[in-house]
Amino acid sequence: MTQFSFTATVSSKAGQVASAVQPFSVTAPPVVTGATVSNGTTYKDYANATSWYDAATNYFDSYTSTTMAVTAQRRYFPQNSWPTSINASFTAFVAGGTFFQVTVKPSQSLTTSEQASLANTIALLQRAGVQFDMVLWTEANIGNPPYFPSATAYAQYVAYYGPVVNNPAAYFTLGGTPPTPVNLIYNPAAGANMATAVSFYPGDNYGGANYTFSAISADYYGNAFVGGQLLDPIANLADSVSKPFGLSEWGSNAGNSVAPTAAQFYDGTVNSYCGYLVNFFTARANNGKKNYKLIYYNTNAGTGTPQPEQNTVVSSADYKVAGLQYVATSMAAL
Amino acid sequence: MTAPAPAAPTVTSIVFDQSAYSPGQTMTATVNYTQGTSNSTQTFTGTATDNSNPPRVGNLVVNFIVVVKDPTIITGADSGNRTWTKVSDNGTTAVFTATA
Repeated sequence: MTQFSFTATVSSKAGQVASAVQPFSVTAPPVVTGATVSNGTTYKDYANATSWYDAATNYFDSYTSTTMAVTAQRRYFPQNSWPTSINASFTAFVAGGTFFQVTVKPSQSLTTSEQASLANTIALLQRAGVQFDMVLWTEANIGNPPYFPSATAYAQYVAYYGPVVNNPAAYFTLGGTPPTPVNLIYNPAAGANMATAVSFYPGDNYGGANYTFSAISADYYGNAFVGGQLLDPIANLADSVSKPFGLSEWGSNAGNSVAPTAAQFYDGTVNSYCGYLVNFFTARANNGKKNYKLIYYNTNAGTGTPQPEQNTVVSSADYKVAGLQYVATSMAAL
Repeated sequence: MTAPAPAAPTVTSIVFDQSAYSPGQTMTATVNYTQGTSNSTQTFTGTATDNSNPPRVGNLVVNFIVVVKDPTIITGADSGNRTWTKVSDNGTTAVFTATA
């Protein structure tokens, strides 16, 4: 809760002035924490699970004693890949009210058929009862070679497909009940790519196109924090354009060969990654700034063979559990 | 006889419609205030005319002071730089709203 001061000032024509001050408070809303689960081998046998997604979700929430995974997750549609039906990775969670951030990659050729496919996918998800918002090309600011040659190229891409996300009814071809507008999220890779995370933001209505972003939500991992890269530049961008700011992916390691240590992940202080995240988003809330969701990325992201268990929580004794619980409970208590 | 001193305007109370707000909520602040006064110097002219031909006229001019309400402007602002909009003002009570 943040306290502000209201000042009423009366001034007369004769130049006499008087004022009085009265404090008021604005509460900070809790920040939703989620966790995207993956098809890890450790998750296949959860009792009574209806799918591996269901098993993985239950395992994650059980291990961490949170409701992160059942609260919010991400789903990734590959490039130029569109579903003809909505599978259990979504439908298993409709009854529980899980919120999804869906990332899509319609063709960079900018075709009307891809606009229709995107709108039809939105319609299918909505008809299945899925609650979601949408990202046009996750981490569009990186890639090797770069996914987009320039910020302008990505802006043109968003200008072409953003209106479909915000107004799918104008583009869908399935027939029947038209889909309804979906919130569009800007989701760059932050950390070492912070400069392009900021410069690739297209803004609303690029080139006069009819779309708006609902939030800016970065991918930001512990190895970036350990490397000294903090969130201020991308959060400042969000504040400057009055958008909520959050994290679509967070975790220990974004794929570097060396992951943060357990203490660097969380040691009970703001000098560790999870402590920094709590301190950062709490301060934002207390200063009246808008926060979006914080969705943990519960997959293996390391390199090498076998791939180290750097983000995946493998048991209730996993060293990452304490940090995850700290973030989840602190954000819920705002 | 001394002239009354002009009175400064005052803000007598500020009352919010809630004790705390959630972001996005409409906040309403009701401000009671008094207008200031100033002295307006008026002139009274007494004229006596007799019946002579031609009539003779005598004038006496006396100044006196009238206390008048001074036009007052009331504004609202807060430490969070929100925009407060005055939605009503009857001269003694002004109502402001802003978004939390």
